[in-house]
Amino acid sequence: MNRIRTPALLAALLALALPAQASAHGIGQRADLPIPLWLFAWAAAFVLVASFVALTVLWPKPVLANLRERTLGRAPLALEALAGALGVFGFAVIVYAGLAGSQTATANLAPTAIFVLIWVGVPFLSVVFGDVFAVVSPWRALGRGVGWAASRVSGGLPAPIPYPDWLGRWPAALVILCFAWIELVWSGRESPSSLAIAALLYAALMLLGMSCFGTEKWCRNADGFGVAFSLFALLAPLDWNGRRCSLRAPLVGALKMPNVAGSVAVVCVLIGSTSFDGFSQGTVWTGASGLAQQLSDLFSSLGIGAGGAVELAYTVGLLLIIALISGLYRLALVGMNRTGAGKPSVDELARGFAHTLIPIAFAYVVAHYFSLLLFQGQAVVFLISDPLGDGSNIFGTSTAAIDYSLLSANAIWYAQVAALVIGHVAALVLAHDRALVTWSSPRVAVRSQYWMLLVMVAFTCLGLWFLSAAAS
Amino acid sequence: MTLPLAHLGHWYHALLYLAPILLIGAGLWWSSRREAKRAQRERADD
Repeated sequence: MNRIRTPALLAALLALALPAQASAHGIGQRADLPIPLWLFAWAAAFVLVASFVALTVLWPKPVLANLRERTLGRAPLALEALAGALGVFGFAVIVYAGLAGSQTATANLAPTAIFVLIWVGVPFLSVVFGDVFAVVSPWRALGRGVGWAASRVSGGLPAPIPYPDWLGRWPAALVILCFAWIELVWSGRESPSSLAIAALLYAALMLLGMSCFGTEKWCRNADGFGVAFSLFALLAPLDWNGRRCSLRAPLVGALKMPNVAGSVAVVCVLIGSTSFDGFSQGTVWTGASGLAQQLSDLFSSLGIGAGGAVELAYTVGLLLIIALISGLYRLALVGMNRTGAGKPSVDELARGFAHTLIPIAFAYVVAHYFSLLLFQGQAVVFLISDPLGDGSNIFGTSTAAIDYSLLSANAIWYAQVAALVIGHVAALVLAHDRALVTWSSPRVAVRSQYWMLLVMVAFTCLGLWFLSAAAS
Repeated sequence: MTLPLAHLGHWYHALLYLAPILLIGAGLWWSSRREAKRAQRERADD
């Protein structure tokens, strides 16, 4: 017992002896947290190890694939048509507001609708109600509407070009990367008219792709928003198969992640871009001699203008963090492959375990953006009455204000930590269950997951470091 | 590029986030090694 107690006591004394984290440059600090922020990472790592041990002991056979869904009912066809029409109308309002309204970002509906309501709000709706974006997607609704009209008038559209299997979801990964670049790097991101033009260009690209490869095939593979939201929807208790709705056990939906090329890239870009959003707000990146400044100076010295150098520095940062996330996942796969004596191959494992990243991607969204949704989401109440920012008051709510006292900074931190821990424990559960299916020997299956555990701990600590850095 | 060695208090905590990863990594490496040795012994006994 002394062998355990002595190091534990020394560790506790060391923790108490360390100086408090310097926060001279900080604003909006959390107050009165009982332990230093970094100790939350240690606690989270402990929870993950304890969960891993519990899974090893209590989960000896694959379970998730055997759980059955229960049919609840069918949604009426009219509801689907109505949701599609609503999606097209909403898209038109956002684009019109961006083009014709005030060019002050906070006074115009377009930036808040795109960056908060859609990009952050829809994932939250998706993990509760299922793939809601599929029914309100404006381009999918238009594509289906055109198909329906063509079938009535001329007996249908010509057969689409077969979608290449090798392309898979790579276009969606590229779309998400481009959107992340717009959100986190582009200097024009706060210009409502620029955003509206980007939205129109994207809609045109979607319509072109659908006309070539067919509405469903294109939306399932190339629409970055549709693909990302459909992945989050796999975590929902409600499963929509067409208009039929079923109830399923938690995490079972993740097993349905399509095994197509580019799926891993989609999730890695989602996690990496969210991580970079946190990292780019910390002093390591933004400080006076931070990485952003040093990279900008480097690009400036190569003759690039000041604005371009900053954008290039942020682009490099974004790509490096995505590469880091992809590299960590790859490390887990290589470790698993070695434990399993080379079978299955690393690429097979990459596709087989890709679904384990979905809860992590959602955990990162919650951790990084739920406070944004909670506070900036309230702006929709007054922006909906005055979408152009021209002083109109359509619904009588244009004088509403954002209530920043809804949740304290400490409560937000606890929610962020909880989201990260729950997300990574869920990922461990999915990986453990899949390992038991992949390897016939439970001992090999458990040993293969040592690597996954290490990478999950790394993801959790990295996520908490980014979050703590963003607040310091 | 220069490492920001001054103002240690601003960044030392980043290393503390790394510590659990290193500790668990070392623990898992030790455990794997022990299991590999045991499997080797079992094969030799057979």
